[in-house]
Amino acid sequence: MASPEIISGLGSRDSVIHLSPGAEQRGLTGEELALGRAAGAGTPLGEVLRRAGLPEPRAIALLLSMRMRGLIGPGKLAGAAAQAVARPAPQIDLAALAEAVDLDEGRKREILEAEARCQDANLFRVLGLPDGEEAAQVKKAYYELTKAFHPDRYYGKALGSFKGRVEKVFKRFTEAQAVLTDANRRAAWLQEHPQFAGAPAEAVASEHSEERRARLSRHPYMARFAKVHELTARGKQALEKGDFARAQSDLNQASQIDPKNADLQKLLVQAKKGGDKARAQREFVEGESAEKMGDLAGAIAHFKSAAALDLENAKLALHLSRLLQSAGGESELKDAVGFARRAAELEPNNADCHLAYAKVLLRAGLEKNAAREYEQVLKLRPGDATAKEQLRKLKWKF
Amino acid sequence: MEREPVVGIDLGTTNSVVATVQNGQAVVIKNRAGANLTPSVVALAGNGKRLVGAIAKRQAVTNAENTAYAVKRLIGRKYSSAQVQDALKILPYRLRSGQHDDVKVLLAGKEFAVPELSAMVLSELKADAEAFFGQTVKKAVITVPAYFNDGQRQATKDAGQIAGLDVLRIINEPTSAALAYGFGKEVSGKVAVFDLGGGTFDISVLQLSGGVFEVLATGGDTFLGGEDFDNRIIEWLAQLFAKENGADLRADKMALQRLKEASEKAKCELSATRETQINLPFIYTPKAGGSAAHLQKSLTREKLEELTGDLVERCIERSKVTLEEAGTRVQDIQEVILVGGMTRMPQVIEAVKKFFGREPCKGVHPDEVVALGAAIQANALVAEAASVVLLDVTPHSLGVAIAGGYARTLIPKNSTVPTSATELFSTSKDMQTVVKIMVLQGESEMATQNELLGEFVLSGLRPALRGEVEIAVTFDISADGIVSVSAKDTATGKRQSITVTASGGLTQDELARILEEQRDYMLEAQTEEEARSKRNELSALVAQVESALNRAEVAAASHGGGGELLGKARRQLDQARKVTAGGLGLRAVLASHDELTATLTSLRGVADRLVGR
Repeated sequence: MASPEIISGLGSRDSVIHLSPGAEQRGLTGEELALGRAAGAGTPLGEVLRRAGLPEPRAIALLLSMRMRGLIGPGKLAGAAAQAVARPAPQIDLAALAEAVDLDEGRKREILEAEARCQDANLFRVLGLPDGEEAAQVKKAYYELTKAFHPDRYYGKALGSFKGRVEKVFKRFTEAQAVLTDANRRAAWLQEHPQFAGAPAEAVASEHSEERRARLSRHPYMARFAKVHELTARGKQALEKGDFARAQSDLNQASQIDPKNADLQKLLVQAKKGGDKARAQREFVEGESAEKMGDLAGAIAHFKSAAALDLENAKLALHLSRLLQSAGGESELKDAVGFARRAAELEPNNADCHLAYAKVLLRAGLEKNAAREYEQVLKLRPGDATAKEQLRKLKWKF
Repeated sequence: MEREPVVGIDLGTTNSVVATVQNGQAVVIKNRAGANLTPSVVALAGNGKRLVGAIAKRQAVTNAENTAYAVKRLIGRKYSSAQVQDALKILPYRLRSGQHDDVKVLLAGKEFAVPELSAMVLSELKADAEAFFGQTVKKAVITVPAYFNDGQRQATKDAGQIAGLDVLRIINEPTSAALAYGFGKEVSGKVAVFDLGGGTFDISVLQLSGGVFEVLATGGDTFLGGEDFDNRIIEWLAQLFAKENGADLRADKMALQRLKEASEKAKCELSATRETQINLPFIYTPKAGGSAAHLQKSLTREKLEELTGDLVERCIERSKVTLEEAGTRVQDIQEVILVGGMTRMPQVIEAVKKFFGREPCKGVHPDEVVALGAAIQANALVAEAASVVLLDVTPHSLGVAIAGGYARTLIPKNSTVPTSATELFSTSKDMQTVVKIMVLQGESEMATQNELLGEFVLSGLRPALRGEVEIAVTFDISADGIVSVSAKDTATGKRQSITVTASGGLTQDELARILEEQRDYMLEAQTEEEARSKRNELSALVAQVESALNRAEVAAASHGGGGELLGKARRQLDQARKVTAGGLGLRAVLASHDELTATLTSLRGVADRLVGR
């Protein structure tokens, strides 16, 4: 039977129609009722026409009039039926592959596949796109297809049957693209083929809510809040990345807008600490390199600023103390005692720290304190020879 | 293997340029005199020698009657057309009507068809290209104004063939300019090409995207160009001279030629200076004897702008329309490309700047860019791995004539080619067994206002009541721009088709006469969709008229009068009900709709008047 694939006003034979809810109560004739029941909650048009038991032109006329009165509408397939009409993979005309033309096998196959795709009633699929793809993407895809399928690309070649195929394919692409990129035509087409709309409803909703959100955030009060939120988020991110300077600046700004935010204060402290530590680390490295160069004074200065920034680094304090001792001088010795003490206090269970502290105390002439530290060393490390020896010496004095 | 050379030719109104692509670069081929531009001038010298280009232009003053210039404005036109008749008045060479109302140019007593003259220019350019390549050049892309119709394109193609060229493609000048602008650049976005040349104005809007050039819309005016600006100066000078000396210089061919040259020169000079002198000594010798008169005038830029302001305004108006057709706003245009010598005029640049709100692109040479683009397209067609694809559009709507003398468009203007469209029509008379398919090009709803591209007959239809035989008419435009039309009787499968090759060569009067004669063989538009929606509209209207009629009847009953109108309204209402119920054709629906709309207004008026009285 040579009945057309697409029935004007109703769609293609495999597009789905359904009987609108409540339509049965709206005074249908017997024939109309039969058609409506055949459509049910969603049946392909071709199937409805077969089931109706009416001559096809009559059935189509009736369906058209029902469509106009809103008694039937395009619908989605119900469950198992959906599986049944799932389209098989497009069949390509294999005989054409053998045709002797100025095209290689791959090209021929591409053209034939495109030709097969063009049969699809779904314009998105014709262009090789997911359902409901937005206009800008459609255009992009079309341009890509143009590069491969525009007839100019085959100018002057012996193409045989492929000449017609390429033109046909390209025209179909152009048409599909023209419909999908024109807001009015696209809307009209989608109304006729709602099953290809993808998920536009959600997209629209999210677009709307995004718009609402944007509008709300423009309100001065909300804007302030949004700003704090944004700065905090950015600060946190910077903190995680170890960019403490950035984090501090963001968080500082945020806390200026919202000074009572305790969480913000905590984060700020964290950022400050992190920042100090990082700077201390830099000073430490510079100090080390100065030390290697033999620049004792410079090294001491760097280590000192490192120690000022990082109050919890015992090793640094210890090292600094040793350096200060070797530098000689009254005040340096005093400082050396101070740093050694900090080291010992930071790591009370480290015998070496106490040992170093004791040593510097001894040098500074604070024998009583030194003796106490040596005793501490012995407590931690009972067999320590140095401590034993020094203690004995110290005791000998008395 | 060395590829056969291909060239792009800009066959201009005043100047022509030939270019090619070499090592991935588009270059202009200099002519044998060493110039980039070859004047599109052809002359027959006294000794019968044929002169083309700069030589022909140089001797124009002394041999005005045998020197043909600006023939592009005549190509593919009918002798009786208004444009040719206007041109007759100002051209120093003689024109004559050919057998099919085509234009023949008379040079030294010999008749030349316009394409023949264009072919002479093309041959000259072909020879230049051959000198450049050192081998025969056959393949060429030739450009035409975007607004050229099918007949003009065909005539240009003929000219190429006469010159021994294999014309690969005829492309639009603005499109070509855009190709040259975007070639080898990674540009994406919308560009407008504003092309004001010697004879025509074209405006195109294109979308560029990674080597794909899509024409969104194109438009223009085939009789708006530099020559019109010149003519304004000529008229101004002639009028001044007539006032002072009482003689019309335009009557004297040689004087006219001198005026023309001086005007063109003055116009060009005023692009750089603010004032210029026009000196034409001994331009007129009184017939009755006496001393010769001289023409000596100074022309300021302001005066010129006053003389030509409306021409520039026309360009901007056209641009507005074309932008709308492209669905583009002015602010979406990323770049404006100026093409054509006339875009050097400060007044034009200012107007463009003001309209588009941006400085026009300065990266392209307005005289050469079109030829370069043509060369790029020629190369893209022939090359194995072309980097550009052009998506061009049809510049005019195509359709068929239907009953009542209307035109029904099947392919609207600015459709991307290749394209095709099919629509169902039916017979317009009872027992009609023959339909005449008349292929029209143009935007008018009236068939006679459009151009007839060709016609054919589909016969052997089943005798039936009118509207019962369905005929599917299919239009097809190939990538080459060739239009083919076929008609099929859907019941019998009987099919007829033509490929439109040349303009029908008919005047509007002839077309009108044919349409009148063929009334019995016309198609009827079968636009069920439209009819249905109109029918719905009509039902709504019927309801409105009913209530208005009731009101008017009540008013008439209590105040008297209005009887005639009420009677008419009742009759029309009955008719409308019949139309809505009986499924009559679209035309009946529309007619009824119009009637009722008018009646509704007067009914309301009557009711108001009666009540208010």
